[in-house]
Amino acid sequence: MASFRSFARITSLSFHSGFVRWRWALLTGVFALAAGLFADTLQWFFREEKIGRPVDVWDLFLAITRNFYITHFVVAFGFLLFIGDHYHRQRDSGNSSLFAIRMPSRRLYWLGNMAAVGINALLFMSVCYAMTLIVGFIMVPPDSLWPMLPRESLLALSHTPAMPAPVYSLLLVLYTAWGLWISGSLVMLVSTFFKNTAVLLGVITGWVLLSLTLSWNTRFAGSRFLLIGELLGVHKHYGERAISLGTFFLVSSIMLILIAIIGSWRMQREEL
Amino acid sequence: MTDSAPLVSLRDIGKLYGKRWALRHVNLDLSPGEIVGFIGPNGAGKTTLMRIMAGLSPATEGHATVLGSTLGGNALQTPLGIGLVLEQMGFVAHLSGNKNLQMLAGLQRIATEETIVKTLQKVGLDPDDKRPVRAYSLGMRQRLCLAQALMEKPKLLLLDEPTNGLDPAGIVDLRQLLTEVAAEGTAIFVASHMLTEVERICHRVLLVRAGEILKDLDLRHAGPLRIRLSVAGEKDAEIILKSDLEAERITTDSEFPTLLLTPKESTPELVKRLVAMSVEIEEIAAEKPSLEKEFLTLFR
Repeated sequence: MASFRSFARITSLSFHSGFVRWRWALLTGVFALAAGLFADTLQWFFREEKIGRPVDVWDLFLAITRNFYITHFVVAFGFLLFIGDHYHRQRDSGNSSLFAIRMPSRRLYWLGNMAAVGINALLFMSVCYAMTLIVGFIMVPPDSLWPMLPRESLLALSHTPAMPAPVYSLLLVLYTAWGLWISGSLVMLVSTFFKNTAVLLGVITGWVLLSLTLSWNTRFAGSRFLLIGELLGVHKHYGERAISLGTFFLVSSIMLILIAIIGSWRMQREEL
Repeated sequence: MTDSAPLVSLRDIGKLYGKRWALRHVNLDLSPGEIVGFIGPNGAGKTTLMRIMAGLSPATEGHATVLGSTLGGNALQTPLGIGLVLEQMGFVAHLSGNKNLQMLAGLQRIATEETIVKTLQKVGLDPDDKRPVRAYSLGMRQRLCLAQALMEKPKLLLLDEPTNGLDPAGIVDLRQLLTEVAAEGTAIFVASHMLTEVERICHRVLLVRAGEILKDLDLRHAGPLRIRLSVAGEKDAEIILKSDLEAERITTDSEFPTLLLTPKESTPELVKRLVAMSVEIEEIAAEKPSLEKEFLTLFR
């Protein structure tokens, strides 16, 4: 019980120590801008593809989470910089020593930090969702607040389960946040091995670019879980190379558990 | 101060960074209530030794026992009961000082809200100050750092440059505070560049260079007592110099002839003897060996 309390406290402290208002404000602006640009682009695509209904707010969030470039550069790259930077700052500013000397174990300290990454991931995607809704309701207001999916849409957006769009969007928020949690934790683990900021930045950039390049190549189907775009994107559950939802959650959960185990081991040897 | 078992016992501690030894052959015992200073030029290994004692960094060689726990081995762990002030210590910038301490205290649940308030007051901070830590001055941050180290009533206090950013009044308060904390049985280890402060509060001082302890000075029994004596005239000075007293003439700004004596007897007995010798005394003062002199002798 005492361990759980310490875990909850360190999660909260780690989250708070990484919370920088201006960064979140900047992020809000970036998501709003992305949503605005996408609303325009989607309207153009709908006209080109002769889709018989107008674009609405529910198309917008779907389109953003399905777009390869947004997924890689705004969602993945943005979040990983956020997390890598957060952990580095926590260590360099002396937060880590302040927290670690009070923890019953270094293992709990690591797990608390991982949990904080999860909360950050959820908040990150919630901000993305909220900004898309706000911009969407202004630029492309919906005919119905409760539209059922699938409905007439672009091919890329048409692979959706038959459920109300708001519910599906919320599930997408959780799904993407889950992927971000795994990738953010992985970056945090890497940064315990490489303390140089430039090296960490190189690893993050390399991972995003590699993922963007290899995602198009069917020869790398076996290594899909190692590509960040594949980890975050829901498109992998549709089409010829489809992976079932069960397989995805099984493999990704194993990845998360492995990161927790290796990170706990590493943290017990880490100089803070 | 008590003579009970040491809270810290370091034997032949060494720390290697790459090919450079940051610490080498460090031996140290720290007893309850004892205040030990650690003085040396930049890069002498002060912070490294503190990190090792706090379980934040492993020693490359040697054996360290802190508060009953053997440090090192396969897993790093901070023994319970350590208060730590490092030069780099960050707080959650958007929360108030009080809130920061409450959140930190929540990790161990030793310090209550009442203790936190009292500790903040003790270090000279207002517990009701709602401003975020980012709005604090350097001195206020340093006081907050001290508060976090003290709030859980540690048995061992490790302080790296605790006077950083403190104004003169703050330094005086800190001196008083550390003396009180030590009197309650807490062992204190202070690394500082401020020789006079260290000299005033420490029982022992370690002079360190390039990771090695060059001298362990016990300021409580710091060598033979020397007496600075000013007498009324040259005749009096001659009487002393011709006697069997160990004395030497020194040059000072004083208008009176001044001598430095190393007496074998106590000061009152010396005064009685001088009076019996018909020496007219103008001024008399005990002179302790200066830490600054020791430091300069070793490091220049």
